Amino acid sequence: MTNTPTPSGSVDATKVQPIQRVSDDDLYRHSSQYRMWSFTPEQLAQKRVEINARAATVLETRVRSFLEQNPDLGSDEVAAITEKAVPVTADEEVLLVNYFARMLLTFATKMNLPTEVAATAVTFFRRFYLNNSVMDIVPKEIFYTTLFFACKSENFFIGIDSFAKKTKSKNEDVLKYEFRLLESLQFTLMNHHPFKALHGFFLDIQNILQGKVDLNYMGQVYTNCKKTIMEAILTDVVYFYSPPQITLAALLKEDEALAMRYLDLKFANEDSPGVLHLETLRTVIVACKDTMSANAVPSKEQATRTVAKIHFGQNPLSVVERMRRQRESASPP
Amino acid sequence: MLRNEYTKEKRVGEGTYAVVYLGTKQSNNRKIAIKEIKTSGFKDGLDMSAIREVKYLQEMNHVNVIELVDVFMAQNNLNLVLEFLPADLEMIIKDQSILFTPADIKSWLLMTLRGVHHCHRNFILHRDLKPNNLLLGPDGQLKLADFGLARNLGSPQDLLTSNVVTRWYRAPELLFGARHYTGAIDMWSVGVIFAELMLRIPYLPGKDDVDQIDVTFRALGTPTDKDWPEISTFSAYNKIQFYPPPSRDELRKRFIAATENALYLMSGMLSLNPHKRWDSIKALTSQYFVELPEPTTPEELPKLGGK
Amino acid sequence: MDDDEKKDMCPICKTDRYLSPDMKFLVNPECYHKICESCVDRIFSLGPAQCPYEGCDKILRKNKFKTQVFDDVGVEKEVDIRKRVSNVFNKTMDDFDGDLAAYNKYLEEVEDIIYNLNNGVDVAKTEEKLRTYEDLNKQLIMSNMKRNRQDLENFEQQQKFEKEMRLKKRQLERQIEEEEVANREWARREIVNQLSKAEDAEDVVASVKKTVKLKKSSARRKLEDLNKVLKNNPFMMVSNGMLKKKESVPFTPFNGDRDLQKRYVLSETAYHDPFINDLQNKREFIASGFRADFVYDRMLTEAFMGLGCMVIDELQTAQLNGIH
Repeated sequence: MTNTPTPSGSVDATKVQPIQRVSDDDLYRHSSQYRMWSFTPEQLAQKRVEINARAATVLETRVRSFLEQNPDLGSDEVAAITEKAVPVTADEEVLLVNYFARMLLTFATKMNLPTEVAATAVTFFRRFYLNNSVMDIVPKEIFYTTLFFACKSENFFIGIDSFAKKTKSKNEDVLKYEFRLLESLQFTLMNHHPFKALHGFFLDIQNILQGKVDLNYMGQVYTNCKKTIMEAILTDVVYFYSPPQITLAALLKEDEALAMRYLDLKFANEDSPGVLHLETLRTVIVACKDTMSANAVPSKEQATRTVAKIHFGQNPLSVVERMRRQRESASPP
Repeated sequence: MLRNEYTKEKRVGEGTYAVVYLGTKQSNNRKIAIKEIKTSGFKDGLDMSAIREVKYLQEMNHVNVIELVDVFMAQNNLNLVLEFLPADLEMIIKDQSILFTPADIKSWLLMTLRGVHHCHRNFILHRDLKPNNLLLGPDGQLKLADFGLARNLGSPQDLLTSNVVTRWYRAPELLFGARHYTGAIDMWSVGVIFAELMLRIPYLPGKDDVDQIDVTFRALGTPTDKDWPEISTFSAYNKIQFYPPPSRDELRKRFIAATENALYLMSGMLSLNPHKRWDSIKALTSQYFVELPEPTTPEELPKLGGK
Repeated sequence: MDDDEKKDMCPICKTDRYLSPDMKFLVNPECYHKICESCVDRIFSLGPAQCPYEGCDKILRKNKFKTQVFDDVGVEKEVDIRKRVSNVFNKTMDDFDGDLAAYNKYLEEVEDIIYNLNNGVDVAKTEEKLRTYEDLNKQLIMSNMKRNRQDLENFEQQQKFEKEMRLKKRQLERQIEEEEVANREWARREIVNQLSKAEDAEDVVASVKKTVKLKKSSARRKLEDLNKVLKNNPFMMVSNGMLKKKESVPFTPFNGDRDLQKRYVLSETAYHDPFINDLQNKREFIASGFRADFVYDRMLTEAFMGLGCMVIDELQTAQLNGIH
């Protein structure tokens, strides 16, 4: 690196107020990912409960006014509506979002999109549902919008015509909620995914453990960690931990001995610059690894049930229609 | 609600994709500029320039980068609320009534480089540095603005488009259509701006893209495979005129008021081979900034309409 | 033998300068007794020894001998003391924030020390005072020395700058002169030329004159620019004695906000990265300015960027402090 010249007695041109030294950690703290999209588990849970409650109230009001406007419904029909047209719970919401987030990832991979684009699409999709309920806009409606927008945001532009063709959707459907998406993302689009951090650790491990690791083996570790990180992006760890911590958690999961040896050697010298307290770091990484593994993914049946539930809630009439259809087919003329 | 927080008082400009208004932030009476981004008529939805501008400005937090105060939607239009900056460097350069000294030039260059350094350490390329994108605050601070062409330094294998940067400030590798360039393209632009500040006229004013190559190499010499390994890979390279590089003395004569350290720094930023071109750290730590005269303090810099 | 003759003779070996013109006298600040160079070599080569002057018991070392600058040994001695003291007491007016009274008091104190040492008054006590001050103010003394050096450097830079500018000015003036001669010559020939085509003489002269006038040379324009620069030359203020008050904030290229405490060291040899290796050998990558070290640096930065951000803890603290 370049040498800093010896300070002269000259006046600093842009001295406004003393500016604090900005460390690389501070750079991360300036990022929108840290400022807007990091939470404590309690904050995140509360956010989800609130979003769900708000949408639930809207839905319940709608059902009530539907019942008032249709006084001629039979008592069994009213009972069916009261039973079926109910809001989904906050837990059901999370599961459904997770389900579609995974589908989005699978779809993006099938489209051969670059890793970062796929990761961004998933991230945008999940963040969208931190400001919207699945009862406001169902996942299907925002699915392709997120993917299309992620491509643009990551400089991987695909024209709307060819995108719609590839996804067998309509231009206007893809674009319909683009603004809503941007607004729900609070106009922050930059993502720090852990993939570059992984590449960085892959390099630094070679340097710190020089001659002590097999390069072919390292290549294999890298590939597996990349997969683990892709999985991690589907979980809440992205809200609780920084990208390097998630990366190290992935490494820990892959080869605990390697990860620990690296960290021991790396941060053994307490005097080295930017040193971290090894024990604190270890605790954080282990906690991250545990959260990563605890992610619940619903089955297809579960997801379908929730989607149906939302559908009934949004259209109480459909409950009645469904009843009438069932009744008709049960009693042949 | 947000939309009542800002007033739009005066329309000050209209570009291809945005209208700019001057206004006031009601809660604290701060003067601001609002860039209203047109959204209708774009087939592919939100325009890429708008996305980039929002994306990168949200992450920037530096005295020498324009501040994005707020973003909001109104009547289906995207509105960027930016800090109010009344002038730009191009206006200052062109205003013949303004006299500026080597110390002023040093101050502007210093602030430009600090802004570029901040972008680059966040792995963001600006890709459109030129005097009229370097805005000047009422307090004299210079700020990088217009991130409509900016992008992250993505994965190493990414193909980048070479159709970036306004022609006169375009680095030679871009003129040849390079697809894997680095932050060095921004540094080239800064070098050209430095030259322009000293000359008070554009340094490499090509008439069109082909002429730009000619003008560039006439001024700085045509590089060979020896100065710039693999340059002959570019198909356009084999059609160009050969010019000898300028001698130190020729540069001295052209930049009559420049010190040796100033010329050394300029030549560093205008290295034809991007591998050898100085990066922002090397430029900022050059002797030029340490030698006298000291850079003028921002408040004391020349302003439009006399001091 | 009178005094004048004594002056040119070594009192030890009695060699006379008249006979050996190359002879040089040296003194030692311990006693300031004058001894010729060859005597110094002879007497002190084997180590410290007593001064050969009768009645002088100072022990002298060869490396402390120096050429006498002033004829008067008294002056020589005072100058040496002054130098020694002012190297330690090296404050300038700037250090007193314009408090003239305090500065004068300081100068008086320094004069007292010099007087005492020079005249053998309270030598031990005064020496002690000097040493104590030096010990207590090491930091200040060092930084003042640096500043004085910097002032000198600035002065030299200014001289260099002005010299460069004068040189360029002269070059331009010469160029303008040459151009004017050429222009006159051209005008003369042009007039003869056009007149031979039998045009109206007055018109021809007028139009040629106009053309010459329009040919305002680029050298002249540059000269004007240069004059402007010289007029605004920031060094001029220095030379006018109106030195701008310096602020104590040193110039920092990055405004002090660059992180020099990286958590990694970029290695030049340690990385085996088949993917990047492959790219850096591709011709179009090389030609574009692609650099593997940039990529490595970037990836390593990202690896450690935010490693120390304990997100949950930090958010909880912020919440407790009511920030979030």
